[in-house]
Amino acid sequence: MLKKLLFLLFPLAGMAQNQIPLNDLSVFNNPSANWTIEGGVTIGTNPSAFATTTGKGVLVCTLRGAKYQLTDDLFSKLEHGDLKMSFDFMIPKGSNSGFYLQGRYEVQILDSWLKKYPNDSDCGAIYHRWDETRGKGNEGYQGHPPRQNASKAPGLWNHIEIDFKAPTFDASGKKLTNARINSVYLNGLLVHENVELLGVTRGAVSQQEVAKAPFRIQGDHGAVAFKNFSYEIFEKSDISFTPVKYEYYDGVVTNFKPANSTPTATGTLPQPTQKVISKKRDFLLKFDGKFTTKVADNYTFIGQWEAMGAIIVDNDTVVTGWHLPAEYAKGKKKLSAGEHSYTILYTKDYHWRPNSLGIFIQKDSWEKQAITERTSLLDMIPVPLIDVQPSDVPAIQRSFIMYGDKKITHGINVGMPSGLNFSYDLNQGGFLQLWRGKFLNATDMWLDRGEPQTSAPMGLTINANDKFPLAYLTSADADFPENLTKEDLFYKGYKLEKLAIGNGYPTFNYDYKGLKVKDSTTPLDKAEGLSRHLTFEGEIAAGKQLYALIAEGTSIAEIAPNRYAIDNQNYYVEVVPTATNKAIVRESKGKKQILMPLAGLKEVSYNIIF
Amino acid sequence: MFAFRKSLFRTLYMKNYKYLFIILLGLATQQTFAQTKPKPLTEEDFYEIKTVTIPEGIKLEVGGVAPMPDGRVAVCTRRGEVWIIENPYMPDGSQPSYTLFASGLHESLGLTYHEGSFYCTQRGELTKLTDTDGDDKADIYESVANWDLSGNYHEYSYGPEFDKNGDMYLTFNVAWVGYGEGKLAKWRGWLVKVKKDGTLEPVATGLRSPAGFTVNSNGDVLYGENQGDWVGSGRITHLEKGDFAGNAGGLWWTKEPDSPLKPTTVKDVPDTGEPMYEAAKKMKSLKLPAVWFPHAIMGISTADMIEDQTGGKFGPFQGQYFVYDQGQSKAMRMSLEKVNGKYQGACYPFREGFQSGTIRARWGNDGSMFVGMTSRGWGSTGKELYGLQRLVWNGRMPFEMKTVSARPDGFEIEFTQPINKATAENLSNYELKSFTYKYQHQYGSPIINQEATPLRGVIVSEDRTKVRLVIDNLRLGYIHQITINGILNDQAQPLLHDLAFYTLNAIPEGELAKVSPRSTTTPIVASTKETKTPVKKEAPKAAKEMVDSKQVALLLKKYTCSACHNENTKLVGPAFTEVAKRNYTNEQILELVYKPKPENWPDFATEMAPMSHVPKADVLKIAAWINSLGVKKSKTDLNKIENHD
Repeated sequence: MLKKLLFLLFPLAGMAQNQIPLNDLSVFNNPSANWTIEGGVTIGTNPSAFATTTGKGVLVCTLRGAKYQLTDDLFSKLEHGDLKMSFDFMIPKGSNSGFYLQGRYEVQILDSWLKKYPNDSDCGAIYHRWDETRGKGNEGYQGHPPRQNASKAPGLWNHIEIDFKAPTFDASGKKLTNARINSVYLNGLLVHENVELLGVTRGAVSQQEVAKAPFRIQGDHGAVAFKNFSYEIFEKSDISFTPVKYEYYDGVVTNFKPANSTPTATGTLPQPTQKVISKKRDFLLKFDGKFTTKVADNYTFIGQWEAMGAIIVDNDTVVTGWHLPAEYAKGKKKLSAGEHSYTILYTKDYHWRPNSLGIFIQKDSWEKQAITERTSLLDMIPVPLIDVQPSDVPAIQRSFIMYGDKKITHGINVGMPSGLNFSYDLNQGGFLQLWRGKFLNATDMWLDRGEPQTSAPMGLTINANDKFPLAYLTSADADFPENLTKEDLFYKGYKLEKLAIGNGYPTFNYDYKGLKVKDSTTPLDKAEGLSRHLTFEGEIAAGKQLYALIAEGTSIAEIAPNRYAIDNQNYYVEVVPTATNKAIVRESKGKKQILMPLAGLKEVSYNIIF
Repeated sequence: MFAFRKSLFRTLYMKNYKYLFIILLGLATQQTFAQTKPKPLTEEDFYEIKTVTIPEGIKLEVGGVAPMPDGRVAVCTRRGEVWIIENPYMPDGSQPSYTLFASGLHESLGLTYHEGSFYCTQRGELTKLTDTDGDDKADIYESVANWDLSGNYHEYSYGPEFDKNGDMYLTFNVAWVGYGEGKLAKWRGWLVKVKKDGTLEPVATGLRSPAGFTVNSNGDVLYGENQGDWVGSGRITHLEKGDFAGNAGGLWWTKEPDSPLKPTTVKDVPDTGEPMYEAAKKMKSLKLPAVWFPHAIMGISTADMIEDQTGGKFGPFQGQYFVYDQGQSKAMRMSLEKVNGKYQGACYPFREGFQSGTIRARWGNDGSMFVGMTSRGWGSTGKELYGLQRLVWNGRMPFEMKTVSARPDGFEIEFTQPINKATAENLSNYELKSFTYKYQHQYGSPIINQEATPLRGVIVSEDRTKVRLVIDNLRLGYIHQITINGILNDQAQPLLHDLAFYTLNAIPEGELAKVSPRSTTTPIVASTKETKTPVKKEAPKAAKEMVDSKQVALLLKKYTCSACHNENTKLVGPAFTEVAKRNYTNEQILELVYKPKPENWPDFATEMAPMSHVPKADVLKIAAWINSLGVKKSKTDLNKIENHD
């Protein structure tokens, strides 16, 4: 099932990705002075302001003049129709921007951090439309809030992926189909899927919808920064097909050779379809047709069929073999401009699943075009969601948990009423994932036999290091241990605590080399993140030094006292200061780490904010 | 319904007086009939199934059941919840009340209440759940023991069962990777004991899918096995330290220093397809099952078992066992005796008709039995996805074979009631045969080496509660099937169940019974070869389509096809109408019955066992009938034929 899902999510994987180089502003039309190219951007002690470092790669909008104005909006030189666009963005506290597809349809960018119930003006929303004639207070309509709030804290990089389908028009300019958001993923979270846009949103450059136009970045409402623009544009496929001849052979088929070489039926169809026959096994269907390409290029042929099929183009077999529809069997062929012949073969020697045949052709930057008739390929069978959500007390659920490629077998998930959640490896005493939003997808555990037995986060997720935070080290330079054994770290269970914030918060108990360790995690007061608190009792072995690993990542930047941005500003870590001990930032095995010496202490706490 | 009948009656009355007369006449005849012959009694006349209602929204996919001394019962579920149910006996139609005691466990499949705490087995951990502050919610989830897992879904863990010392037993499934594999995580395929300090002590291996086991009143561990690789049919085995119960998956861990078996590999296992009894002669550690449960007849997926220690509150079977089957949603009964110091015994049908897949059973405080159910992912005869019911003896005495026990020259059958001597002495009322299964790494087994075991004579005991069957061809190591038809009790009732299977691993010593040699005129046993039913209507070719559906119905029952297949409804296996849609020829169906291809039915969880012991002629009749289902027109014809009959 997982395999099938991956295919569904990335059916177009492998298509051409275009990067927008941010060495200068040349890809934009007449940028205002507020827009600059920088090397990096952070927010420090003042969360409402950017601090920049010189360099390249980051597009920044900050106020250079007296005030923001409409001319501060940034327009691309690129004119696009269908578009897949992904980028990173960062905003300081309270700021506001937006990404306008074709300058007309806005995906909102806003500091919506911590907002529990986002609306159609919040970050990730498809902004509402605006009509003053609707009367005061009712002007906004047809907006789409994100399915859940997926925005990160000011000063952290957010990642967004937008898949947009432009409106289409007939020759007279009459709109044939509405614009559509195929999908928006904000920080990895699906916040919209297949939303039709009935018209332009508020603040559009024009009320007139068009087939192609530049995208536009809002720069008139506050500071904002972008990087890593990556996109694909899609043209409408313009291959033309002629009606297709079919031959149907009844009987057993070996290697596409029918036992009975006289066709049982022949005819002509507008498009190939397996529905021309009702037989479910032991048949051969052969379609012969022609198509005309307007440009020479590398073309990809996609076969989605149940059982055995082949696509033959200009007498060259491009795709063949035993497949299932979800496998998207693919093959490429270089084609000149002009007419080409093709043959499709389809055969099946079993009954118990229905016939299904879908053949598609695709070229880079083109949407795929069906060669077969629409109903020839059957719909995939949908899977219902089985989820777990906390009530007024935390929801706790053990499961197998995927951590990269590894299946954690003694995992536990904790979902708290404030909307913060974490998964935890009971054998290692380490965080696996931390997330905000909906709690847990348990479908792969509770549907049918639940063969994967895994669960997955349903919110905005930060990956953690699966490491028990305490260790005896010979010195502050020694490497931190990985993969503890049961002899080193012995899991004893957990207790559900009654706390001021509510009942049912777990404390995990361990024996670590003679120390009794309690590990508890609770949400921060305003749900800005999670607070982890470890206490340890017992004699610290003579001559040994106890340390806590607070954080680790590819980069660690101290942006304020005791506050660090981890992994290129992916999340923040705050060390709760003590009077005596001070955290150290160091490098070990190619990774940056924050280490806290624990000499003289009985506890250590730190916060993770995102 | 009632109204509909009434109006039908009125219509008939108004339309035609003659019909009315016929109907009344028919009723009268039936009544006369009822006076001369008692209504046949069924299981529910003695053992009643009571449903414990479950609130909407609770998915009570039962993994474990733990009755509490105060009359409440706790249930753990496959979704990792532990519910405490107050008032589960629901007297006078009152409602039970559900409290969520614990949640978030990983597929908990066993629960025991012990000294104020619950002990619950999750996939990778034995957890002690305790409420320390009196709110009926566990606040301590203590890891008593935990063990490695590979992440394979089939590595289920079951238990705990306490012994008298307070130590706990657990059983561990092997992984499923196209066959049962134990080496992916330590002690998979083993029975282990968890000592009070939490350490695991491996006890015995060879387990494949040990969903049900018990520590009996002697302190012995009995476990039930599911048909699969190395397991020809369901069975129950007594596990002692160092035993190898048959599935090779767990042998990998005999290399460990604390293994009670000396290092053994799959190469040491006689994978010959001969009977397990023969294989065990070549491999000392290979433990024979105490009782085989013939596949499809006595279940398809052995689940829980419990010993009757109710002192008669549950009926006449004190000291015997009730064994559940998840796929067939039913309870069976098992009696054990020790011959030469080893358990062996018999199994009997007992009670069908539970609402879902019966996986767990525990005694309630009143001598009734709580039966916990789930069928998600497997399917079961009971159509609900999950359920909780109680099996209650209503105090009426069922007429049953109470105990079949081995004798040096045959068997002794004790009945629950005195028997009519004349019917018991009629040798033709007994049908006896014996068979066994292959021991092999392949999945399941056909019935093999079936032979008649002719009855030489019968001795009825003085008090008419026992018969001694003296048998020729008593076969050591074989399953002996005893079918009784025609024996009546003093009320002229037949036996509630006519079937028992005795697993004869050893023949006891003792005095031989004195019976005169059987008369040659006494009909003895149905031949094991083709049935002698004359194939009367088969001659005219045109009539071939007109399959006698009544005869086929009998065949389907006789060969237990109907245990897993129904004409129109998906049970454990596909409906016959679905089979018909595949357009197999009768000969292809025959081939598939003898050598099933589970890959043809990927949507079905349970593989069909090869049924090569069914005579060819009978399979072809069944096949013809199946194929007749595919043709709508001929189905109408069939109805006509039925009416003619």
